[in-house]
Amino acid sequence: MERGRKRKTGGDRDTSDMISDLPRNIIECILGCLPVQDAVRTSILSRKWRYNWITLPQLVFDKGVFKDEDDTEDKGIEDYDFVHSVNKVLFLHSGPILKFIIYIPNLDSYYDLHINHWILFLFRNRVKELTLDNSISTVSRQLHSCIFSCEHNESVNANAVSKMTSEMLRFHRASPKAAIIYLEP
Amino acid sequence: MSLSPSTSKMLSLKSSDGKVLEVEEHVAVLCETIKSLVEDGCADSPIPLANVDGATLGNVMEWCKKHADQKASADDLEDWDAEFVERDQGELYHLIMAANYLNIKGLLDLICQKVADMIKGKHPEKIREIFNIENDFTPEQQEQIRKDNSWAFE
Repeated sequence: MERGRKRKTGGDRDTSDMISDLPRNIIECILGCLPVQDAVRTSILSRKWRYNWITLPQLVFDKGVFKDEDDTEDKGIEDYDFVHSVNKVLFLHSGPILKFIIYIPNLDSYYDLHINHWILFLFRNRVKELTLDNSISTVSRQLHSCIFSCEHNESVNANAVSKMTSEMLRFHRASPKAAIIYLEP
Repeated sequence: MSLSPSTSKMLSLKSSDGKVLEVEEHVAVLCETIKSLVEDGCADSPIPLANVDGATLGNVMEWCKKHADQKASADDLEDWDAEFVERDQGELYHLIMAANYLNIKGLLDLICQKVADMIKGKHPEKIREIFNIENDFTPEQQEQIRKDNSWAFE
């Protein structure tokens, strides 16, 4: 901020709250630049902020959202917490989700079921950009094939299925009836 | 803003406080709002911009001029933008409202990112302090919100 002072033109930097009454689209744009947990945390700022994040059209669960699970003894509980947190965000969210980015931690494959539920939910919400990044995980995943068959989907990010082999991609594109897609770590 | 020695057609923009800026058309049309007026042939007389004061309009056009410059490299623009948003909240507020009104997506995204960076990773109490947000929740309500989204508050 120091450098900005020299350019200061207005005199209205004082004790007034300028951010809370910004137009809805600007608030959404600001929250959309934040990882999900920062956006959700704004709900506690004040009544005006209570539900701002709930209609965000983009949800970004970046790598830093959840704790690194490498050295934990209670990995089962942390897996559950991660899945439960994403479930909760999706349950509470209201309106379209156009963009969804998630870095999947080293989840037990037991939770693939939940990831598949997210995918189905997102496609029903007409997601336009979906990134499922399994690259920080060491577990292969079986994902629902609607990822390639949904007409509303505009860009399933290549990162989404970052480590998926091209053979698998071809196979599943050639066989739309295939029930699952494999997402390699 | 001074007149640029260019052959580009000039447009007159009139701010809310009556200041008139002469801006090259190819710079001013980065504002979608102005571009529409130009395309519809309604941009002859000074274009009145009732929601933007003169100082802010000058800043906005400074940004547009830089971003209309074909010679500017992506790295150059990134550095320049980083410096451009180093302002106090009052100026950022006026810029964000002007970018929204004039419909300049690049500038709006830039300042929203700047504001987001001021929020990111900070404790709610700190965010309230930075932006002068009044906490109008009871302690019980706050506790409930924390409980509802406990994962985000860890």
